[in-house]
Amino acid sequence: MTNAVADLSAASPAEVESSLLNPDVSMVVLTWVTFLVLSVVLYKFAWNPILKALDAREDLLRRSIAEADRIKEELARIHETRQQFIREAEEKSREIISEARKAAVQLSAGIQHRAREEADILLANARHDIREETEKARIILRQESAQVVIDLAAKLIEKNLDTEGNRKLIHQLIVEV
Amino acid sequence: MRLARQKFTEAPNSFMSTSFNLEKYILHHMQDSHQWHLPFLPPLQLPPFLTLHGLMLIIAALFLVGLFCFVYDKKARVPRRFTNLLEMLVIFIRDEIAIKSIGEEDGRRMTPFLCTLFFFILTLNLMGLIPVFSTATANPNVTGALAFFTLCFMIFGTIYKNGFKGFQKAFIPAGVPKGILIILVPIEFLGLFIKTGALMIRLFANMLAGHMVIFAMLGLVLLLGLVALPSVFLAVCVAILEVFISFLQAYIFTLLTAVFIGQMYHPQH
Repeated sequence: MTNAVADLSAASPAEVESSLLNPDVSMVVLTWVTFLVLSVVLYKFAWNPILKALDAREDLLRRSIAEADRIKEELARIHETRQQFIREAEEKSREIISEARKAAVQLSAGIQHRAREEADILLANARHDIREETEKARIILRQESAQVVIDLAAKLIEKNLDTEGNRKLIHQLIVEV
Repeated sequence: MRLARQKFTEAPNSFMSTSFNLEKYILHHMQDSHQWHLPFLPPLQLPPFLTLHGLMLIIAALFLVGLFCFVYDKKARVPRRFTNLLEMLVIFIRDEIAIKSIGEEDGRRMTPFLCTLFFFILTLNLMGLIPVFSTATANPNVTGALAFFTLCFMIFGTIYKNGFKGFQKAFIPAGVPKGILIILVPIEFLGLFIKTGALMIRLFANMLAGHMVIFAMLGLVLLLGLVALPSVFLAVCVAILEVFISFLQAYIFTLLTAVFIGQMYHPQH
């Protein structure tokens, strides 16, 4: 900086202007050469690969997005199908359950009916048996009571066979029996 | 600043000869020379065919080659960090500048040129902000040479693409009476050079002015001593603004190049 300041000597404003706006052919040529060389080198090693890579990436991106959309649609469709399946399965299971319930009800009704029939038969048999037994018992009772009466009568006869009054009584009794 | 100007206007000769000369100080940092001032070293004497700005061009070109051939990771499927930043700029140039201004097919074909132009100018602009280097884009020869490429594409690119008749069509708008064409055609033809000339002056003037402001502010410290120390803060602010302007000017140069080429390629629009 001090060096720079020391270098400075008086200059007119015109000189200042001309030095800043000085046309300089070598400078122009140097700029052209630099720029052209830079353009060629960068085109070969930078812009061409970079722009190609960008295009490729954009293409990839576009395709990936389309693919993702497609997959999403497919997923939605699969979901819909699955839902459909679930609904159908539910319906079928409900049908099966209701059918099974109906069958069970029928079965139970049949069983009940049969049981009732059997019970009726048993009851009828029992009644019949009871009647028979009662009849049997009655016959036996009758026979036994006749025996008892005979026995009694025999004993009574043994004692009071003679009396007329007793005879009448026995007669009455027999009639009653 | 006012004090400095007062001194200049009151007694320019005596002041300049005896004390610090702000104008020369600024000029010294702006103009091209054959010396490269490096810190802690004596000034490096450059060969006669190479000036300081020319050296800056070569350094910028080497930097860009290194950046895009070695730092930029071309194999990465998903770019990261610095590659991502550079790629963002490349995509911006391709999509927002080239394709939008020139059209899909020609835009893609012109993208490498526009990318080189953008990154070359941007690097030169930003190098000017680094103390050791100097601003080559503040040299009208450099910006003029770059604008010349735009002119070449506007003339020869159009002839190559549309043929000579297509090139002529760019100067003869459809549906204009013949009488007016006598005035219109020279104006349109002149516009070709005015457009590229404006391109050259815009970049050069912007870079020159920004650096002039910075050096003027820093020069105040040398001129007035520690009283002017706050101007260093202002210089820092301007330097930050200059970073933005570096990007902006590189963008404008590239965009206008694309727009001009697009106008010539598709004259009816």
